[in-house]
Amino acid sequence: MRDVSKLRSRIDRTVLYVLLFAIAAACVLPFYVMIVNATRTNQEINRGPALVPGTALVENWNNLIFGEQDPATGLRSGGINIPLGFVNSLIVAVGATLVSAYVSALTAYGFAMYRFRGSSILFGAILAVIMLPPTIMLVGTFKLMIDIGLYGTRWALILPAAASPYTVFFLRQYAAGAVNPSLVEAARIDGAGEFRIFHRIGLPLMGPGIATMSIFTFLFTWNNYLLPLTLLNDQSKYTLPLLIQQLNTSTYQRDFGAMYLGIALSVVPIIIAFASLSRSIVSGIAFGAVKE
Amino acid sequence: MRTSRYATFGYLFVLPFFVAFVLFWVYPALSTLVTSFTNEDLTRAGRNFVGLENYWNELTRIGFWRSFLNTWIIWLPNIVLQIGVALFLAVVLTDRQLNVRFAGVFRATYFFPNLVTVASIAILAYAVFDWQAGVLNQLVYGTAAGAQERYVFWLNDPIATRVIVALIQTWMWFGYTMILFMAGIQSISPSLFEAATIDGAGAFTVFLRLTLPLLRPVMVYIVITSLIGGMNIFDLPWILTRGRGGPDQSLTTTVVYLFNRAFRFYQLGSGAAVSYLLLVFTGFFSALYLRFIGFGREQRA
Repeated sequence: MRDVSKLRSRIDRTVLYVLLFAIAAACVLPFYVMIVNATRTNQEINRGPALVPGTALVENWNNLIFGEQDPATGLRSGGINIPLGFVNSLIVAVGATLVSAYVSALTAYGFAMYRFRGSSILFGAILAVIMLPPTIMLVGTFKLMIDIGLYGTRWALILPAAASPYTVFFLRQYAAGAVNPSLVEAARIDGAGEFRIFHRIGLPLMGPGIATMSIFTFLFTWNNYLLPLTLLNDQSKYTLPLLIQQLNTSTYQRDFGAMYLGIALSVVPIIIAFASLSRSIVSGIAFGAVKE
Repeated sequence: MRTSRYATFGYLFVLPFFVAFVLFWVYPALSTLVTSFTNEDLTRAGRNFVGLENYWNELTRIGFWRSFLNTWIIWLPNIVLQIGVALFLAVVLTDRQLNVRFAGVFRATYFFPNLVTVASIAILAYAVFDWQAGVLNQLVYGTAAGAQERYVFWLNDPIATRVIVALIQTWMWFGYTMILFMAGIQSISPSLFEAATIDGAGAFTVFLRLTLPLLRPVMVYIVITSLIGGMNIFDLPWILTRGRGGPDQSLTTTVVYLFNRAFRFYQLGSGAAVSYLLLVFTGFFSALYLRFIGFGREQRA
């Protein structure tokens, strides 16, 4: 009897692990096939998915970046400048992350360390908008950016990060636990000014919290599509998602090798980032559900 | 330190945030609201107030309701499936008796699709579900000579396109939902599980009578945030159909419809009205859901 139930539980365990691995494969394999296909010719791609890379990486790169070659003249035209999109995305995402990190830390520290009239109302206003869908601001933001002359510039995507309600909400909790008031008091006795104390004591102590939130701000800005689509009008400033999107509107819709390479170039950095940061990302997400 | 002597610094510290907050959140939201009561149009200068005309026009337009329905047809199967899969995995990966190995690796792997740019996923889906060179047809029908004749034009089928988008959404979000459930389960005191096991409750009873009720706050958070996100789905249907809305407009979700109104047909007033209608409907359905599950009732008791 005991052997039977032991065997049964072993089979159950095996089935469970097969299921868990199958789901994991479903999350990873599409990206693997994509990377492999990025190195194959269109004829090879037409023969079905493969697990072994091909040899057409350079050709696909040339087709993607410089455009298809005209058989008659040997000239290429109509390429998509993915590296430029990369640079643009990097500028916007780094800019937004820095702005958001500094202003949010300042605000969170202010709420956590000072008692002032109306502070709970102000903080309540921040909480109130966290759940609001950003689409109600779409038309208004578009008009605002035209009015203040930021339409079509990267600033339109960077400056709004100065008001990141969720980051402030997170960092206020964090500051309340991480910044010891007696340290602040000691610094005051030593004659340090309030802003100096923030920069020398508050900011470093809030560092890990700021880092976690910065990962999210960076990813959010890097992945954002609707705002750049609405606020940019110049191909030379397009962020990566706007260029990637052109892969199925342009000539690439029939050049699958180049298309796969384009997607792969946009996904590989995220794979690398995730491999090194997954722990902070996972713990940052869990915060939202448990703290409320 | 928390004395009024330093109150001025409190204001100074939060000032930059609130300047940006008013400029980039409050003002655009109000400006959208004001615009929704006007006939503002990008193709001509000036605007007139038209009262509730835009709202009335939208509420009597088939296209608006169809887009709203499309959004629901995509969101509803997605959230049911997503919660089911996520709950199962969260329970399995946190179970002390099962003690699954590599639980951390599984958790991270399941979450990964969530981080990838939706634009990239949309183009990847476009390549996978393509008629002639798509991976799906190749896997289902093979690549032998003549097999191509049986290939299905997935992205040209109004039902298949919605199923595809709902499944991609589930694939992108079940890991995120699972992490939230896992955090919820781990915040339940282990002694409760022990007591239930000592009382002779089976795994399924424990789940139904203990885990599920205690996960309710997490569940509410997941459903409400997913509802808000799902009602605002845009990137995937937009890129997958190259902004055209797909076969029979099956992927014209409310925000795709909104974006077309405002930025393709330049009717900012009408686009603004759609965004506020969507806000009202989302609020209404959130409230309906909270009422349905009796949220807040027992806290009062």
